[in-house]
Amino acid sequence: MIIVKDLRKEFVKYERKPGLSGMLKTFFKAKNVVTKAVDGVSFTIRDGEIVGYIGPNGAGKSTTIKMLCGILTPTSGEVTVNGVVPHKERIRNAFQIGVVFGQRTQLWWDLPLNESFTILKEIYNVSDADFKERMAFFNEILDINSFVKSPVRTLSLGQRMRADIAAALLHNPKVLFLDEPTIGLDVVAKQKMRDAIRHMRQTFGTTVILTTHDLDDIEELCDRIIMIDAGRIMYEGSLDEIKDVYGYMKTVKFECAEDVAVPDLSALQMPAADLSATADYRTLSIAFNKHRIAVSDITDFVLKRYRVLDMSVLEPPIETLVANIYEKGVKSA
Amino acid sequence: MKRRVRLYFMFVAQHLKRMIQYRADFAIGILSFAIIQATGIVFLDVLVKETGLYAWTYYELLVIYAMFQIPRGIDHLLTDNLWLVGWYIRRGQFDKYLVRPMPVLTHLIIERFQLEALGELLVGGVILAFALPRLAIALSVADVLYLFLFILAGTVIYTAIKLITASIAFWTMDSQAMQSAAYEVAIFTKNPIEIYPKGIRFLLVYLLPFGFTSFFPSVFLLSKFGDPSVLEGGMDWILWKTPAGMLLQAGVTAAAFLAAGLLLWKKGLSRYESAGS
Amino acid sequence: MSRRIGSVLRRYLPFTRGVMQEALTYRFRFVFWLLFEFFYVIIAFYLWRSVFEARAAAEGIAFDAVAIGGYSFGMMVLYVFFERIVGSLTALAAENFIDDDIHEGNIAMRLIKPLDYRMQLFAQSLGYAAVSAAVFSLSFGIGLFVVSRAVDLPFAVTAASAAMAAVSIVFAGVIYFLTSFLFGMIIFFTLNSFGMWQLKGAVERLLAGGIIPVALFPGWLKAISDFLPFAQTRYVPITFLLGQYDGDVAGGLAALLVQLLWIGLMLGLTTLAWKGAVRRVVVQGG
Repeated sequence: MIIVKDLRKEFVKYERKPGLSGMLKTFFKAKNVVTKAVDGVSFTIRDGEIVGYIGPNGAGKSTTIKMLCGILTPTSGEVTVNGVVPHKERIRNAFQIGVVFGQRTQLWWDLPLNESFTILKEIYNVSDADFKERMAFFNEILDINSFVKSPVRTLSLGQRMRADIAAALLHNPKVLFLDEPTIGLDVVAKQKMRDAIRHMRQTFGTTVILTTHDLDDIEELCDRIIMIDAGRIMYEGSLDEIKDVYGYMKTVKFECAEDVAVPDLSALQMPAADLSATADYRTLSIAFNKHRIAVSDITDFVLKRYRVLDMSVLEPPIETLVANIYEKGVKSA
Repeated sequence: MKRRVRLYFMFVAQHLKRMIQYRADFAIGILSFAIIQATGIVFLDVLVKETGLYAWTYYELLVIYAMFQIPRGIDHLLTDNLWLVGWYIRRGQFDKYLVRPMPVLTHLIIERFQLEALGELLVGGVILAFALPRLAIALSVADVLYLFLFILAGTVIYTAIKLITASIAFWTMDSQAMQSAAYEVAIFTKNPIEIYPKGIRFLLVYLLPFGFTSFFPSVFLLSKFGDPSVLEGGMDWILWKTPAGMLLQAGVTAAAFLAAGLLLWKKGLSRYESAGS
Repeated sequence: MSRRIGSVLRRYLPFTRGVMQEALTYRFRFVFWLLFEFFYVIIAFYLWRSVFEARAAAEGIAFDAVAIGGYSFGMMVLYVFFERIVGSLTALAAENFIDDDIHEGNIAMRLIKPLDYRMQLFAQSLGYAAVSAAVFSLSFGIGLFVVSRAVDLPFAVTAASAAMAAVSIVFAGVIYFLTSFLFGMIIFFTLNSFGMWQLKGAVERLLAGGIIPVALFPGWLKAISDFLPFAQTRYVPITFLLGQYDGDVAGGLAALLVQLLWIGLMLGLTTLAWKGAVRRVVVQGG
């Protein structure tokens, strides 16, 4: 279990003014600029959860993760990972976490992959039996054997990311931190990655914290989402809850028998923000606020006026949800 | 501890494997190094073969030259990764060391085994093998032990200075130039330090004590304690002008610099963990 | 004619400028490199002094009367400083850029373009040499001035010698560039190893008089040195600056002619090597 209470991280940067006169000025009176990268963050993550930790760039995501890994010392606040304070007991924490840093590999560049695994086995004290079992497991879900003899520098991005995940999980850590694990991967590789992560959680009960910009990752993997912006938590909840609170704009699509024009919706007595329509040849799309108007009212309205061949109700894409959250801030449903 | 040793040998094995794979490159590297060192000897050969320098004959100068290679080579062999601390930090590749369950410094050092350094040891060994027989030196067991300890102290001094300058990378990112500059001061000690003025001798004994890596071990090996120009010129900053005294000063200096290096490293690392990269 | 020169300049000057800018951003490194060079000069100064003292003692004569290979101590000190200065002025190190190109995989592309590659490298090397020359010449010039307060330096150069020295330096730079280019092409053909570059640098230093003046070479070394162009890149200009050709303009011009001949020879060799490299790229596809 990961407990974070009122965690803060401030960075002090010396503001340097450009040019020679600037250098002289700051030499005598150095101006310190304090950046609050993490400004009072609190959350709890239970064992076995897969949590998406999302937010715009510079929001404080990687800073928080670094504090959980023991790479960064907090300015104030509490943080424990399974009872261990990361920055105080770095090595003890290191045994129970696995990290995948996205673009940067943890493996040894010039060595064949299998040698990297052997070395990691030694570093993390993995027993021979466990090693064999887990390598077989990785091969099954990540297809490692096909490139396990190659030097890491010859691997494609997809192969390397799979190798990095296997490397991070070799010692069966209780917590896995994934920083942008699917970035740069093609669709098939992304899917494999997500399957592997889900499988890991299922088989080993690993807690997973995932930072990502890929909203499909969130959709497919995350039980819960924590959203951070400007060092503060903006929203915390399950994806369903988010959809409910922020994804209230649904769309009904009608496939009609002939070309259609946008109808006059004034009869439904809804403001434009809550109800609008677009027409494209034979497709009529109506966007509506599900809290303000029932889908049946809309279908009644349309079916009376047009010959409808087919219809479907669409959820808002997740980008819209996230954008809504940013725009409107935390909202109480 | 035993686990770390096993781990170290795993890395060494890896480097050996790669050396065998790239043996052409490796051989060229060693050969070119040897030739580069040879060009330095050309100087001695052409200019001081008959006259020697002050109290040092040509063969004795070769001994200093050879002794220069040995602690330097051992340090190069074992701790080469320390050159790259700044590089790792700049590329964001340093964090991975903090996520591993072992001390960062240990991990950095055992990860790299620089086989090219065998070139330095080879050159040093060859020159010694050439020069010593022509100098009629009889070494007792105690002498060999002394020599071994001098070499140990010299190696520690090289490592300590490398560690001190590597730690600077935690504060400023571009430390490699500074590291190289400090390390290169050692080349003063390819020659007997009597040739330099007092200030430089002070530097080489107390500030960047490379004097203990080649010159003073040579003074010991060649029993130069009786020679006035060595005593007043080269050894003027040595506190006790006996073999034991000199070894003691070497050891204390090495220990002090190593302690300073480890302290600075610790401070630097905690600064890195506080300030990020 | 002037229009053609203008267009050539316009085409290649950006390369020079680019390298100069890059070099200036690495000023930290330049400062430390300068420091290394000063270490070398300091060591050389004291080493030579002790060599001369040893000779004086061995031959039983006064220190100031000692001459090694025709060099007095004062002359040797001048030699050491001039060697550094001339070295910085002629360091058109094409190999750095070739090495970069090889590693970045650009070299095949660069070779295919007509004539551009040699000129481009020349322009780049010039930019680099300009910065290093400015930094080093200034520093060592000051160093020389400081030392001259303490040591008697026989600095005597006629106007004619100075003029010829300037020309010689230009020739030396061109020869250095061409040998560097040739070496780069050879490396490209055979094995590209870091050790080879270092080796070339060390051998070049030695044979160019970087460690001891060529005049002091033992017979076998002098023979090797005569056969290779390296002595032309540093030693020859230094001899002008040391006043060796004062009052001997004919001798000076002869030395310049030798340099010119070397330029011709190196131009031919580099053209061959470059054409060979191009053919190899076209056939093998880089």
